[in-house]
Order: sequence, then structure tokens, then C-alpha cells
Amino acid sequence: MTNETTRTIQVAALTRVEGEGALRICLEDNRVTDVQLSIYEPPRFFEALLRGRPLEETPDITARICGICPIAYQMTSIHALEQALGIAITPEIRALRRLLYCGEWIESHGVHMHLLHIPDFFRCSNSIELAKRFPKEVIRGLRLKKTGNRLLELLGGRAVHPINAAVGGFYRAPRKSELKTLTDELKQGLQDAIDVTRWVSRFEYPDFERDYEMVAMHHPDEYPMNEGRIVSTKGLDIAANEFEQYFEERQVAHSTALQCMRLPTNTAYFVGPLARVNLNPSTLSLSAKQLMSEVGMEWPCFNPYKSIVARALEVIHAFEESLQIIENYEGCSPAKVSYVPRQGEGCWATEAPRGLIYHRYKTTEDGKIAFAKIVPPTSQNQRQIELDLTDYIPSVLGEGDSETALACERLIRSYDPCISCSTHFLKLEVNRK
Amino acid sequence: MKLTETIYLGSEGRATIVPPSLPTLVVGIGSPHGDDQAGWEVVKQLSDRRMPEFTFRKASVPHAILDWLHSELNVHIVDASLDAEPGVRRYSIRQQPDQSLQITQRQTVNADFVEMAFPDVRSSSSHQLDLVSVLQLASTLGKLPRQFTLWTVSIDQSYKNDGMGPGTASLVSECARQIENEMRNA
Repeated sequence: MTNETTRTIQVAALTRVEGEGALRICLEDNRVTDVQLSIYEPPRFFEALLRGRPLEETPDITARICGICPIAYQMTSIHALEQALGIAITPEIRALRRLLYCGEWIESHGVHMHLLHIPDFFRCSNSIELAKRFPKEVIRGLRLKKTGNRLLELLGGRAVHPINAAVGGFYRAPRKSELKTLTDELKQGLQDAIDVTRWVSRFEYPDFERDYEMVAMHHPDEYPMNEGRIVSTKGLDIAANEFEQYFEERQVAHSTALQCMRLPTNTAYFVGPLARVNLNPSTLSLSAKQLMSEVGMEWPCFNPYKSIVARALEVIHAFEESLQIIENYEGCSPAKVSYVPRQGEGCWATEAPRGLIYHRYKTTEDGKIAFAKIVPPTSQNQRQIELDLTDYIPSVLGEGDSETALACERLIRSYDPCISCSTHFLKLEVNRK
Repeated sequence: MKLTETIYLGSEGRATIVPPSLPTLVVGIGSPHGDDQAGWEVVKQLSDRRMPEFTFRKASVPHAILDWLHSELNVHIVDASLDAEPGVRRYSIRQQPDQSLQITQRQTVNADFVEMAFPDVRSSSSHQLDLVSVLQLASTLGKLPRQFTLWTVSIDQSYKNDGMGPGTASLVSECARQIENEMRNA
């Protein structure tokens, strides 16, 4: 809609993102005055739903928050509850949990890159158009996804909403022979991931860099998945149990998802694969480190579009670590550490495919959930996406409303937002004055 | 593997070309919630009937089936659908020379084939990766099975309980019966 002083651009429904959202842009004399990323999926009330339920049900319920990254929800809840209950797991259980994370990263990154994000770089409207131009590459991407799902099925019982992870360990640990059956697929996957990284690193990227505060976990000895301190590119270095002192979720009128801000600065921040790679280059696997140098990018990188290269590097890492874990696996007995329910409180942070995730729980003496708090990655990136769009939109306003809307969607997709997780995304509307 | 194609008479007396040696996969798409579990329940009922020669799988999202599809398969997909008239519907899906899909519907209440234009079948799912898009992608990549049948079971969106509504449960049993009949006759 255009008149002399006002202009409204509206993306009524964001495509190729998980969930339902919209984008409203307000312009005054071609100056961006407001950008609202409106998540209108109804709140899902998972935290309230958990209250009063047996703590053992928590991993299976939290897994339902997301069909793409259920492991991150499951595992963060498990670790937080184990802290509340004073449970110490064995090194074997810990290794299997990292293998499960590797499966989810491979599957989630594989789907996002090949079916959702790469079409943007070739102006394809969807993966079908991309497949017509690059069939071998799309088949390769689907092969990655399949191998990730095979890992999830074997360790999690099934690929979507796995059911084998438990507080204390696993309901059933895989036999060594079962894991060994995946070796050839994982070796093929590693080569595929290297080829994907080389491919995506040659894409043309918009020249768009910002002075982000990138936040991710950090562990001195391993690439961060399920344990470590929370660090940032602006010097933050805290334990996971200090999260709520430095980050705060807030309600905004235009979204059913909470927005998380840094304290005390009240500023937005950036989580996800690019933050992880920037903050943890030394613990990437050998091949991932080699590719990181080979692709010719400057690290740390502050261009959100290049998150896809970080995603590809993480897929390499996940395959290489999976092969290593399986090579060293000699079984896991007991599969699950026993525990006695008690009144307690625990919190934990892990790295979901799309970024940092934080959970806190209180348990009752008889083993029920008394309180639950869940902070997903998308609610943490939401404000930063709005700020990015505010800066980016002026450069594409001259291209017409539909092109502007498309350009906004592309920027949003580079964050791999998961709206269903955070409602707990895109119509674009632009008001020009 | 060279396949020998034979002609058999289908359950409604129609001549159909079937390559008998094709492995058969039945996939139910759904969730554990309300009427949306129709696809899963059809697969459960079929797998309970001891047919070890067939493979049964459940999928929560349509793009999951991309892991299992290849051209040398006989695939039945079962999914819930919102229809103006409740019923079990059977669609044959074939690849056209231009890789688009031809969808042919045969309603159980009426044995006449009804040719449907592709856009008339609308589907939706997470990430814009709905079932029809997934099948189009499979077709583009040469992964569309040689034999592909889509079964839909009408559901009642207004039914909010944990289990399925009685109307949907009845249609689920009917759908399982029809698929079993077709598989055993293949």
C-alpha cells in the first residue's frame, strides 16, 4: 500500500521456517521507524503443563516442543533435573548423549540447509526448484538428513520425538554391534559434509555485518553441545546457573513468544551455529578446522547469512565426533543411573542446532515438577532479527514491496528460527508514512 | 533387478499393472493427538495382522518419508484429511514426463475414477514441506516409487479428546481393510 507519505510492506506468512509468523515494517519517508517480528502461534504453555507431573515424564513432554530439535529440549531438561536430584552420570552415558546430539545436529542442519535455506541463494522459491537445478546436491543433503535420523532412531528409539533418553541415562543402551552398522554411512556423511561446506562457502553473500554480541557455550576440551560455560564475543563468561542474572525474557505486545535480552545492558544478542563456531574454533574436529581455513572466510564472522557455512562445519564436526564415539564405544552398563527423588532445584544450558537453550526446574520430595522455565533459542534471537531488519531494509526498499518482503524473509531464514519452539513466524506488513 | 510386470484384477475388478516383486512399504503420517492419529492407527492395525512381507512405518512429518522412498517400491501412504464429505479416499500418484504429478482419485463410495488436477489436492505441514511438496520433490529427484497410493481418512477437526472420534475410528478400520485387501491381492 503506497501513498505520498506512508508505505506498508507486509509479509503475511513467513515461508520455509518452522511455525507461523509475520513481519510488519513501518516506514516514514523511507526511513524505518519500526520492525515487528510477530509470532502469532498460540502460546503452548509447556512450563505450566509440566507442573505437578512426575519428573520422569519431563524429557518426553519437552521433546514435544519441537519436531526438528527434540533432543536439545529433552537433554536440557534431563541435565537440569539431574542437577536438581544430585545425579552424576557415567562417562559412557555422557558419550552416548553427545552421539545423540550429533544425530540431531546432522538431521536439523541438513534439513535447514538443503530444504529451507539454500534455495534463497539461487532465487529458488522452494526445494523443488532447487532440486531441478541441483539434483545431486539435494540428494546429498537428503542423505545427510537420513544418516542423522538413523542415529536418532538407534539411540532415541525413533527419529521424531525420541523416547529412549531418561533422567539418569537411557532406558536402553545400544549394543556396540548396532552402532558399528552406522560406520560406513557416517564415513560417507563426513565426505558429503565436506563437499557441502565447499559448495556453500562459494555462494554469493550479501555484504552485511553487524557488531553483534554472539553468545554460545564454551567447553575447554570439547565442542560445546551439552555442557560448559556461557561466553560471548563481548567478554561474558558465566556458569549456566548464572543465566537468569544476565539474560531476561520479556513480553512484547506484538508476539506470543517472549523476547530474551542481555542484562544489564538491555541489548539484543545472537545465538546459533555462527556464534558457536566463532567462540569455539579450537575444539572443532580436525576436518572441520581444516575446512574452516580452506573456505577462505575471515573468522570470527559477523555476517548472519554466512551462518550456513558454520552449520556445514558443524555437520562435519558431528560426523567426525560420531565416528570417534562409535570407535571407542565398548557398551554402556548401567544404561541408567538410579536415583531417589528429592526436593531440589536445577538448571542447565545446552546447544540446540539453532542456538543456546536454557531450562530450570524445581522438584518436589515425591518426584513431581513444581516449577519449570524453558528459554528456547528463537526467543533469544528474535530481537536481534528485528534489529538486523531495521538496518537491512533501507538497502532493499527501492526494489518494490514484494522484493523487500523476499529479502527480509531471506535474512530471517539465515537464523533458522523455530517459531513453534519459541511460542511458547512470517506475515510482512510495511506501513510507510 | 529386472521386474516382471503382470496384470491382475483389482478389488473392484479393474485391470491394474503391478510388478509383484516390488517391496511394499506402508507409511502412516500423523501424531498421537486426537483424530490426527488416523494415519498411525491404520498402520498399527495393519502391522497387528502379521504381514511380515510388508514394512510398516510411522512418520510425524511428511518430509520424513524422503528417507525411505526410492523408485523400486510399492508405497502406500495414509494421512488424515479435512473433507467436505467424510470417507476413505484413494489416490494413485504417477509421474508425468515433465516430472509433475498426476493424481487420480477413486472414492470408495463411487468406483468411478475422478481425474483431479494437481492443485486441487491441497496439503499443509511444518516448514512448507507438506505431503504434496514432498512427493513433488521425490519426483524431481527420481525417488518417486513406481507404485504409489495415497489413502486419506476424513477427520473431524472439532473432536478435541485424546483418542479418535467414533466416526474417524470407523473410517480408520475401513481404510485398513481396503489396504490389506489391496496388498493381499497384489
